[in-house]
Amino acid sequence: MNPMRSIQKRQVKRGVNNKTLYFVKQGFLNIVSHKIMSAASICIVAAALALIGLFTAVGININELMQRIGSSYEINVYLNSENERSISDIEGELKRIPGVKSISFYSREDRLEKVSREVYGDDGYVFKDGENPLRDSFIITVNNLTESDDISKAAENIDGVDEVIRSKDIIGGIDTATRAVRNIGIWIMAVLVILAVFIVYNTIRLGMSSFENEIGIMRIVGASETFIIGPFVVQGFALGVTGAALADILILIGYKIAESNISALISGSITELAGIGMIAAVLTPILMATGGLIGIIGSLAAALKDK
Amino acid sequence: MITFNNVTKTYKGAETAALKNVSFDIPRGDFVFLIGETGAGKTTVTRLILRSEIADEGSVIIGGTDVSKLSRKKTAYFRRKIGTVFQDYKLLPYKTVFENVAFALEVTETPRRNIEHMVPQILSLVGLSDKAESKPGQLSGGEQQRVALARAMANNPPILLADEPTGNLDPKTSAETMRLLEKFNKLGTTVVVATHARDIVDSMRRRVIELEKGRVIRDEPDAFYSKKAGEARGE
Repeated sequence: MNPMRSIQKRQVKRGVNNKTLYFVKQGFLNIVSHKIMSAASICIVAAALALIGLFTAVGININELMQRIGSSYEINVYLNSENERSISDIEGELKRIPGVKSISFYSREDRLEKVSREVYGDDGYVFKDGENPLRDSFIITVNNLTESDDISKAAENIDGVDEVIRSKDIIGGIDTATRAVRNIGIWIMAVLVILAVFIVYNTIRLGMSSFENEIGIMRIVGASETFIIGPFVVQGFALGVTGAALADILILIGYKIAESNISALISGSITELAGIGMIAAVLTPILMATGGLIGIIGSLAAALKDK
Repeated sequence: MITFNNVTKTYKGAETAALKNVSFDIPRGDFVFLIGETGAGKTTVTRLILRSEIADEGSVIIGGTDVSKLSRKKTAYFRRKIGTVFQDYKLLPYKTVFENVAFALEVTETPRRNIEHMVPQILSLVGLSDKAESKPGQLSGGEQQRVALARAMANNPPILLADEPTGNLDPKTSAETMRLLEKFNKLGTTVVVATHARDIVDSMRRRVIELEKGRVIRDEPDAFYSKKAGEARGE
């Protein structure tokens, strides 16, 4: 074989002609050539995403807790004694309120019988002379505990409804906690995401400065912008996703430990943490998508800066 | 092939224009020396041809295209029609001669099969077939400039733009480099050389466009570096 021919075969093989493969290969070469900065980037992205993961895990558990409480939570809707509307009309209106899961009617007679049975057993009667001061009522269960306030208000406005009673304290407490976690979480997460994007941005800029000659030559010979910035976007994406994977692993390990410790300390279905499988199923895609997005935004911002 | 119509260019922050009402026309297959003192506007002309800069006034038409109207995406494809050589070669030191030339083809997404054929051909044309596996650091200045030339011509562009191509070379190597430029010109490439090299211009006797303080002060065919030199020789 012609020696020139063998050289060219070998050398062209060393180059990559497939665009995607070229991007991936160059992207990873960029990471390897700036190991320390890349490692720092991955760690910052991981730290930011771990906190996002932590807030998400807390959020999932609050949601779970709300659902558990919600399943046994009832809103009592008492009807006016002088109500002239038909029960089915009022029931229809209550059913149309968004967030209502189920609705059951208890006539004043049913309720009296129930109360009497609870107090005196089968033979007793609470009130004298056949008197029944109780009111007809509906018991509403809700889909989501956070909607109970709106449902109560809507029920109160229905013609024929005398009074609506619900366990306000529990809801108020949980709702305040949820809002606090969400508000603090959003701010902390926003700051961390910006920080992570900034770190990825700097890592990519550093990488670009060390490939200045290559980029200059590429521009001179007419390489497309996609071809020039492609490897850096792959690099950013890889940094983001690796950071996300690290955060995911850390959070899941931490959660597993917390789950077993909490269940050893406190028993009871209300305080039980959401299962690790559920946390992983929700958290992993969120973290991976956020990590990938951080990487892509950071790298695009860096690569397009001098355009 | 290359037309400047009343081109004026002033850089941001500069008090005077780098080019003022510059007009010339370089037909396909021409060989032109662009001469002038430092700051005369030679580099601005090359940058305008490459569309690294855009004229403030007038138009730069390359191959029938008004370059100021090119989008960023189209500029990349447009540049494939112009081979560029610089005084400092701009080679990648960690790549072999073969890889340096192949790089220009790879990044313009030339199929691998074509690269296998094109690189040896162009290396043979510049007389570097035996140096294919050498790194730039193992080559002389003249050889490095030939690699740069091979890379510039790898995409077979219709225009070759050389900015001080012999600036770092001794007279003998400079002459060799210019012979190569002539060779590409004979193959049909339009060649524009921005230079200070009086000997080369005088020995080659090609068209000369002389710039002074951003204006064209001379545009002569078969000319010497200086007008006086031509007159002294009775031309």
